[in-house]
Amino acid sequence: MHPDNEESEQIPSGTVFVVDDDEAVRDSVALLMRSVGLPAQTFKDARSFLDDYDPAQIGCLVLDVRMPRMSGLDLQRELKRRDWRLPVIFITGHGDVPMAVEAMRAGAVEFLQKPFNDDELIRRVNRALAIDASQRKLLHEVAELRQRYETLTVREREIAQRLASGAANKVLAIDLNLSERTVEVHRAHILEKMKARGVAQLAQQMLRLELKAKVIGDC
Amino acid sequence: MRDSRLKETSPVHPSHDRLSALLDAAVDGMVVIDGAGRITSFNPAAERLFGYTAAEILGHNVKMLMPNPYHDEHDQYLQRYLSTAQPHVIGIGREVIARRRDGSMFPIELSVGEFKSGSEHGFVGIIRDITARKRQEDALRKNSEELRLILESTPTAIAITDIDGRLVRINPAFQRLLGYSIEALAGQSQEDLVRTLVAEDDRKSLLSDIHKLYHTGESFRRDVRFHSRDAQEIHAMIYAGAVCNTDSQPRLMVSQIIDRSALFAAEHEAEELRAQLAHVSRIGTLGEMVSGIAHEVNQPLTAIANYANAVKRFLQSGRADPMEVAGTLEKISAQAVRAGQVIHGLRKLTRRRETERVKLDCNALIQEVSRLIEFELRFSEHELLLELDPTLPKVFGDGVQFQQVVLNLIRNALEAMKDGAQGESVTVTTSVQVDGYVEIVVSDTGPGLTPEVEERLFEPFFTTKPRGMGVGLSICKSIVSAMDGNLSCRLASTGGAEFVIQLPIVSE
Repeated sequence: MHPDNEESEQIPSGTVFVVDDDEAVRDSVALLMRSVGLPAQTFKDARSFLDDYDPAQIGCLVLDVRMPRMSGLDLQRELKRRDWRLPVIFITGHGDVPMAVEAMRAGAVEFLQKPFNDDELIRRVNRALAIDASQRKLLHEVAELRQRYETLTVREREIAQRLASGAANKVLAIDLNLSERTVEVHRAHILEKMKARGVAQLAQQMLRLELKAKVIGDC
Repeated sequence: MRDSRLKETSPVHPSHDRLSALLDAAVDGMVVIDGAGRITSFNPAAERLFGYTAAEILGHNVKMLMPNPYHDEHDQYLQRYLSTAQPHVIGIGREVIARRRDGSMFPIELSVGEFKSGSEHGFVGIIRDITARKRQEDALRKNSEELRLILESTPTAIAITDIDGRLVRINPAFQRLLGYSIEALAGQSQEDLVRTLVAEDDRKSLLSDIHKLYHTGESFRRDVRFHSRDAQEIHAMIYAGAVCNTDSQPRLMVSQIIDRSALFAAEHEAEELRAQLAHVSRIGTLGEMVSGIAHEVNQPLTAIANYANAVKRFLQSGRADPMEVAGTLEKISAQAVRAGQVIHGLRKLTRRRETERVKLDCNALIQEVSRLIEFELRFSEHELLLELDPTLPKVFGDGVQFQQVVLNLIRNALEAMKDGAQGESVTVTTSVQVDGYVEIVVSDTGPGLTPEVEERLFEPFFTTKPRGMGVGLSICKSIVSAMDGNLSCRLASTGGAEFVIQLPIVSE
């Protein structure tokens, strides 16, 4: 497996899921993917994709916009509803502007008009796979951080918050009516539990946890 | 007084009895006069003709039986003959006018003979009343004059040919229509005549009609294209009948040639107009469908591009499996065919051409056109079912226009079910009817038609669609009518609408 695209230096592992009601189109897209060493799986409609797909699978969707019954846009909405964050590359038969606008609004960044340039599709697929991989990595890290954070006691969490927002030990001791020594012990525990090398990294971790909270609240 | 003279002049001869028996029996009137013009004998037939009895007329001058100018001049005629011996009427006979006792006139044929017997010299006039004959002759003359006038003045070209097929007579209308005088055509045989006047394709059938007429006396009519002298083609209807002898043997053929060029031209023009209208409407329909059809072409093109690029990459990477490459190339060619079919169907429908009348396989045409509607069908979430009778006989018509009708009907049906639930369907059924018709039924499971809509359905510019022109169905109807068929609408058993096209089967 030697991708000819230099953009994807780290070989993204993942599957390309092709959903198109036209057999020839989905078969040919899958073959094109395999020709650059990307595993591909085809689905004749949105429903069978939803039935088969395991959200733990890394990959990206190459999705036809216009399909009978459940359209590509409908599937995109459904994925969002289920919080399956699979990157989507829309392919469309004709530059249907209102549809493209709707898809963009729903978060799709990739929109290709049929018939498409193969390099273009492969580049976007690789990028989508990379995004999915990094997204998953990020999610994984945040989940781990949260686990660590949850091992902190209430007092430790309070101290961690304050440390992250830049409070000095002395100030903390006065504010919390603790000895400076006690604060230092708490700090050592917190850094150990959070696997942080110092207060700077802790601050970063707290930020990511907050970011994560923000993203979830957004949905 | 008169009576005594009569007795004096009455000749007494041994032959008298025989003569008088002869005179009495004669059908013709006979009047004998002497050299002075006095009547010496007046037979019963003459009595009946003139209304005089012999008794009252004998001895009188014969001129009393004549109107003027003969009345006044008869004595001179007699005088002249006696002195010159130059006969003017004697031995010749002529038609003259006679006068009855009551003064009325009547035409007679008069023959006069002269006799000399001893001292006796006289003339005998034989008189035949030709009133009836004259009347007949007049009637005949009038009749033939009428016929001549009709023949000369009728706008219909008429030609009369004899049993050998030679022209006997043509009328001025014939000369005007075809540009030939009788002299120009005289002496030509039947075959030559037909060759001169009739378009090649029509000669054989016309000659066979003519031969039949001469053999059986059977009249005929036929559409024939004539060629005028200045090489104009004339679409005409010929009506021919035989004039027969008393033994009912055909003797003459009378042909009337009705120029239908104007009618033909008008029909042709109407046909052309209908074709143009059908074309415009077809373009309109295809315009509505064009994005779907473009999509139908774009799909195989996309697949082709992908397959080709995949093969290229496999070959470049050196991992190409020859079998897989071959299989993919095959897929490429299949997709090319698929795109070609859509384009072919589209081109066929958009081309503007003369209306054809050829044998049509309705099933094949329906299958072909259903391909164009596939895209709309996919998104309408309804099904199109084809129930085609494989034994369907052919019909006459224009294939493209037929497809246009089917396309319109299917699209209307889909439109009617637009707001319906999923799983509704349009069914196109073909079948053979017992009355020599093929029936094509397009039925839907939609809400059907309200009576108001049904009544006005085929009216031009009537539409229920917000953006419709309302010409589709009226054009469909005129297309089907031009194929000698009928387009109607009825309630389907499903409650939807059902459009029925009936077309006459072509006899093989």
